[in-house]
Amino acid sequence: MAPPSALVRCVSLASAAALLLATPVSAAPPPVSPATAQANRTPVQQRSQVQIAAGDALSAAMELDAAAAGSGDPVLYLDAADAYFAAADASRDTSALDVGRERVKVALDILYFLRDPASSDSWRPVSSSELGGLTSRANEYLQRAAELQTAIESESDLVSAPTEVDEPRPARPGRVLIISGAALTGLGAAGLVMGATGLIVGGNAQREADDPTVYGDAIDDVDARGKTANTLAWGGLIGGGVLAGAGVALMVLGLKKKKSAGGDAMARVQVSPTLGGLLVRGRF
Amino acid sequence: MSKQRLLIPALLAGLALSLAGSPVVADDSCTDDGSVCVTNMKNASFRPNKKSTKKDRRKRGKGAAGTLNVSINNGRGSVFVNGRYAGTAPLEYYSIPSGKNDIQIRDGMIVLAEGLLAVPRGKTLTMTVRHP
Repeated sequence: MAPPSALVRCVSLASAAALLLATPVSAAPPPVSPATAQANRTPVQQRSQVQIAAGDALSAAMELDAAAAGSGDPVLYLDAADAYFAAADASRDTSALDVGRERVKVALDILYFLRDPASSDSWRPVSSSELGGLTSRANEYLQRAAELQTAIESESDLVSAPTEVDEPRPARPGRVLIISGAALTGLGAAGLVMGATGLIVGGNAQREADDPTVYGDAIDDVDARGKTANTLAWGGLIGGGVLAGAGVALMVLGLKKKKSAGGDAMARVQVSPTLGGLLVRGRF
Repeated sequence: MSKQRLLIPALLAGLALSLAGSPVVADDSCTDDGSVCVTNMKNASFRPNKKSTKKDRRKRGKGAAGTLNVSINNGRGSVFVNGRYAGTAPLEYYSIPSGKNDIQIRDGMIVLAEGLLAVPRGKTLTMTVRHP
């Protein structure tokens, strides 16, 4: 039987080994070359082309974007930006444009980093010979984004701008007078009706008061009703009469004005020569 | 004997007081110019303009990976770790090997921060970069 100290040492070593095996150790990421990057991006690019052809540029942009984020491929970032611009162009919405512009900037971050000695030789999503062309493409995209933004914003300014002042409607002479007169006449008619009602109620009250069987408190009620009816009758008849009269007068004036304006337009006097002299014709 | 009996309670009381009295603050450790700040913890550091050595790279990733968060104030940028693209700021929960890592943060042609980031095993570090 092994002494306790040796056993303890064995257990400790075994535990340490188990712990070491259990502890996750960062493995080196796989190398990326221009060829492997091209092989990975081609299927995504083909799918996005189908989506764009089908008119769904935004879905294509999002798929390209996700693939770019996973791989750090600057070409996919530029393709995503292109698709975002197409979506913005179609929808005339600058939000997709902003996202596309940011993707271009990420592509530029990566392209400039690939020129930096700090970049790893085992991570080359594009070859050195492609860097110049891709950088130019990225800068062109930024220019295109600026132009598209200007175009979209100017369109939205035109839409929101106040419409031009319409030509003033041709004046209709007498219209205001006619409408005012009609309104007053209506009010006057209502007053007259009220006055007539007052007369009827007053008449009824008078008959009740003349009835000898009505006395005491009942007489007071009849009296009160009679007074109210008289007030209604007087007010309605006088007020209604005045309003109706004024309304009718305004309407008449308005009609005269309308007629005179129309009459001037319509009045024609034609003088035309004939073989025997002159022919004069007119409408008034 | 009486001194030993008093010692343990005194230690416990002191520990309790220190925990209760002083708030736990994770101070950031910043570069001299204040452009880069990293969570202040044991074995965590950022040394600007330093590059990893062969020895650093051999030791890198031996323990549990850490987690890196990167944010940029007043601007944008992308994060590159050990020569590869890691993501665009704000970068969150990026799994980074423990040990010394080469870090570069740039905005296009402009390098915002570059240096050696020491990551303790299994710890989460937050790096804040100030855009000029």
